[in-house]
Amino acid sequence: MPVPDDDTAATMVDAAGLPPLEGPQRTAEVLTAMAHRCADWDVWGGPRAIRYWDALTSRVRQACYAGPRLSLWWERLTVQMSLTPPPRKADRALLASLLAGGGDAAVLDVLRREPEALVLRVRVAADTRREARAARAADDETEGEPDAELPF
Amino acid sequence: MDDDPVRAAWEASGSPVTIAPDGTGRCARCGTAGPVTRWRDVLSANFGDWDRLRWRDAGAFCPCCAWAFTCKPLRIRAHVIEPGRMEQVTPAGLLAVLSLPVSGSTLVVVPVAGKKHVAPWAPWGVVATDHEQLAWTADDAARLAVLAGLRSAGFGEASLAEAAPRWPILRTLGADDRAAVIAAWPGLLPWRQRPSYLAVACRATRKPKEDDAGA
Repeated sequence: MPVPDDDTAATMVDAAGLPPLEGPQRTAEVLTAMAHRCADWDVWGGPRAIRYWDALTSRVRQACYAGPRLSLWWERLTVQMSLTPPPRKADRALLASLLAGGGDAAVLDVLRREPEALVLRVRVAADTRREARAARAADDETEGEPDAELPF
Repeated sequence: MDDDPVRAAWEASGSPVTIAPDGTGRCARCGTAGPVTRWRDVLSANFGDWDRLRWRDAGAFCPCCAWAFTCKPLRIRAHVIEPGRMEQVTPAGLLAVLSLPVSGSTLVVVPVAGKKHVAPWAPWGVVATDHEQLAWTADDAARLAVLAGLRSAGFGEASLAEAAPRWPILRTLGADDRAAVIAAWPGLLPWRQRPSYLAVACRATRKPKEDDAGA
């Protein structure tokens, strides 16, 4: 199934229909969604999948202690969650703009205090996306490869 | 209005004498002089709130205070006390009372564990519970409505104290309900920082048991 060029972590969370966030909360939400989109399912698939969301929640918080900048947070999270680089060009550009966007302390504060709520919003977005894809596939009556990138 | 809610409740209950006085003296709780009962006949040996009895050296209780300490329903069930009114309430009744701010002429007693004397220490205008006496404002009444909505959506007492909604419950809801739950969840943050509020609100939103109408 073709993926639109403007599909990014930001459009993914917007499509969930949840109450919108603003400011540092919005940045933190999109960064969390980005981490989810970069998950390596060769690592987190199979039996490990059952604890993927709990692991993401705890490691989003733990990575806040890597240092005072968001780039350090992302670097620590990449190692701890075995994240791959963003596979899509639009996501790479978005990630670079978020990490260089400033206000790191406020975003890190949100990531440290509210990882449960952020990860839950991403989980709802991922679930909404999966259901939408399933509905489209049923409508088209076509068989495609299962979405290996976002199985939840 | 009587300054002492316990005396108002006792009088509203018909001024019962649960333990016959065996002497005269001063009451250890309220300081009233008159017929009294020795503390050993009123309190168990496990009583640990001696420092809250202002005239504890007297070692005895007047009939009113003896009733307050020996009235078991008052220790384990929710009650609403007003001048001339002392009523045990069901969860639905408690919900109705707490849906409005608690006025200065009302005392709401909500024991949680049922192991501590709650009413004897409470002033007017609060919700008295195990470890705290809670002011119940319009904000709290609004939060109670939010909590009742979340409970009706399927979230249990333990899950309401958590930082985010539980996914197994959230995933069963429709898209609009999911968004409403996620929007409402942070509204209970002040209560999560003071769990006594959550405990009282959960008592008010429980389903009544078949064999027990008390909250």
